[in-house]
Amino acid sequence: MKILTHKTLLAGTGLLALLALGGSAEAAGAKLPANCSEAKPTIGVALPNTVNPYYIAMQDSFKKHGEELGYSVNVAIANDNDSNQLSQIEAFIQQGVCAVALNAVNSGPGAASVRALNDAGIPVFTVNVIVSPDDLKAQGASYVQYVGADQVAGGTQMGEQLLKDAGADAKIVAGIIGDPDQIPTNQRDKGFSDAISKDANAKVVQTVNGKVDPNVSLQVGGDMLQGHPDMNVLFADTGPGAVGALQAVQQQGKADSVKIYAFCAADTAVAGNYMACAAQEPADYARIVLDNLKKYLGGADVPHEVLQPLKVFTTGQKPGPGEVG
Amino acid sequence: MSPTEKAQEDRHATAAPVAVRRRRVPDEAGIFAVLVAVIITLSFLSPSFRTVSNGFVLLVNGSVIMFLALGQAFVLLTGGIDLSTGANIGMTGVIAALLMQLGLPWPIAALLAVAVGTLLGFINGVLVNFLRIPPFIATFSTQGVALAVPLIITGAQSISVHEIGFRWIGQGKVIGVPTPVVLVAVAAVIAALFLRMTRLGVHIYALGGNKAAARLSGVNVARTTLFVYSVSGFCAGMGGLIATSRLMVGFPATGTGNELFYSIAAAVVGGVSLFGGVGTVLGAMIGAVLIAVVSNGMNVVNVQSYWQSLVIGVIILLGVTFDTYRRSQQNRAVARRSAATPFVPATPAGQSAGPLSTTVPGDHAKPGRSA
Repeated sequence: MKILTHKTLLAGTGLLALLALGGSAEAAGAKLPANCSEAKPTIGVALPNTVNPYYIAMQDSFKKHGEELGYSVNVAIANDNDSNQLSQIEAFIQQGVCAVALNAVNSGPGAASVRALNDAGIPVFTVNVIVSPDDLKAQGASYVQYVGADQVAGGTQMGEQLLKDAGADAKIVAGIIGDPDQIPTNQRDKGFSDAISKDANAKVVQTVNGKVDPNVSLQVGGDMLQGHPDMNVLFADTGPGAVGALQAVQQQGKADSVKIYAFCAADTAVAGNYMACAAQEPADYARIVLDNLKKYLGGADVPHEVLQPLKVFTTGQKPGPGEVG
Repeated sequence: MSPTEKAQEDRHATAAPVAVRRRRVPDEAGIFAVLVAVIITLSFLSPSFRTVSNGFVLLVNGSVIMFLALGQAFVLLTGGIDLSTGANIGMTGVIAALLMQLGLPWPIAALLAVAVGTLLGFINGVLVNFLRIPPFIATFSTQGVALAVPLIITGAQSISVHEIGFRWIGQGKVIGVPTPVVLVAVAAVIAALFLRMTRLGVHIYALGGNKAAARLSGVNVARTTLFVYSVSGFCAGMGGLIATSRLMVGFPATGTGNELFYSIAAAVVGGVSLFGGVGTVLGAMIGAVLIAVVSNGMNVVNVQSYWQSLVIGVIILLGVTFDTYRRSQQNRAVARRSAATPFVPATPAGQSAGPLSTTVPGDHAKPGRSA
């Protein structure tokens, strides 16, 4: 291991506050936890849940790729509860892990986990959910790197695809099946809304909360279609939401009049009125995190932010395993 | 007939037979008035709300909660509670999907899945009755089991259903009415008749009214307890089939949202006491329809999602308050009447005399109501 090849600096809060101000990835100078020098360092991975196929793909990739790189990977599942996640992070600290990959349950509360790890001198890589910069600043906390999808771009790509399919001045009455409680989904919605606003005849008339659950999405999507008989486009900003949207349209016999754009439903071919979808590649994000982690432990600098573009699927294509919204 | 009237008539059809032959104003009149008021308000707010197609959409969306509320009513009537029903939806749904993937024809897969749901209820009954675990803890624990089973057997992946016939349960129609609505209506009618007309039905009320007295009067407590929890498990299994059939995907996390608490709220709003012995199937069904109407209505009239749980909370509170007030007025009237005619034995006086007199559905003591 080459971890001693760079200068060791004081660990602790003073340094971390400095890093927060710097906001860069110069953290490679920090002293690493003792565990990193062992033959098989332990990496803690904190994930929100294993109900969404998205996180399963990510978890599998962390384990598989971690093994390949010679790490022992411990996964903690927070069951979508921020305080659960914080206690799991505390447990990682007690175990004295070498580094932590954090997929925060929620953007704001995630800062507390980052701060706790900072205090323990354990490097934090954040993935998928970006931890709120304001909260990080307020708590004087910082992470080494964020890896995730470019959420806004994903929404924009779907909006642009819609205008391409329907025509630049088509009359579009769109409804969004989203999750207004989450930042990433709101970013997707914004990308979509902004993209279609280029068409003066297009507007988003309603956003309902599908709670990233196909059943809820089916119900609220059906309600929304009832409320707007003239609606001709649904944008579902998550994979489970897309499953619900497809069923809602089909069950109301509106397959001819309502087109669906979405973040990809798992294992579903894009066909018929399901016009296009954007997929994230959670397995890739996990791999990128681990690769960068290895570089960082080796003393190299890594970029503070890695934003991956989304993969777009159109009619006739089918997202592969692990490519989901 | 306007579409609204038709939709309302469908709702009446759900449980109408329960309301027959009452001397006084039925207990459910209060909550029914609230339901009608909400429907009228929403109809004014949006022309889209008062269409037949929307009536069906909201009833289909509410059918799972109606099934759960129906099963929950049985358990609540005995003074118990079943917290495992929401998780049971996900478990039975995934099991049905898995069995079909294994090549079983859909009717058999559906029956087996509902049997598993009923079995979970039966186990709840065993825990509550024989191991004497408080229902809250017993069913909370089995909820954990029911949540985990589908995740363990599927690895959290959703299971697609390819048996086209299975669609009928959640997406089919019977004489123009969506199948889930027909299923829940038939179940509610059977349940209501059962509670009114059979000995076991009377025993259920007796058990909730006063367990010790019921036992001394010869009620088979074990059989009754096992029965009500099994009914609740059965109803959750039906909910699982409907949810899975609507999506044609067995999704492990189905039913882990608001379903459980909405179903308990539906029963309680409809006048089923959390302490047992009091309430009717009709009331629980009206409560469930009220929740379905509000959930649907808010999306149809475009209420922002942040406000929705607040509105549902307030409407549940208003419904219960209105109902409690109406009952207290009624009790006062009864009390006045008994005071005015002291020599005529009034019903309430007779109620306190013997434990079993509180047990006849539809004829139980109004002053004793704690709702």
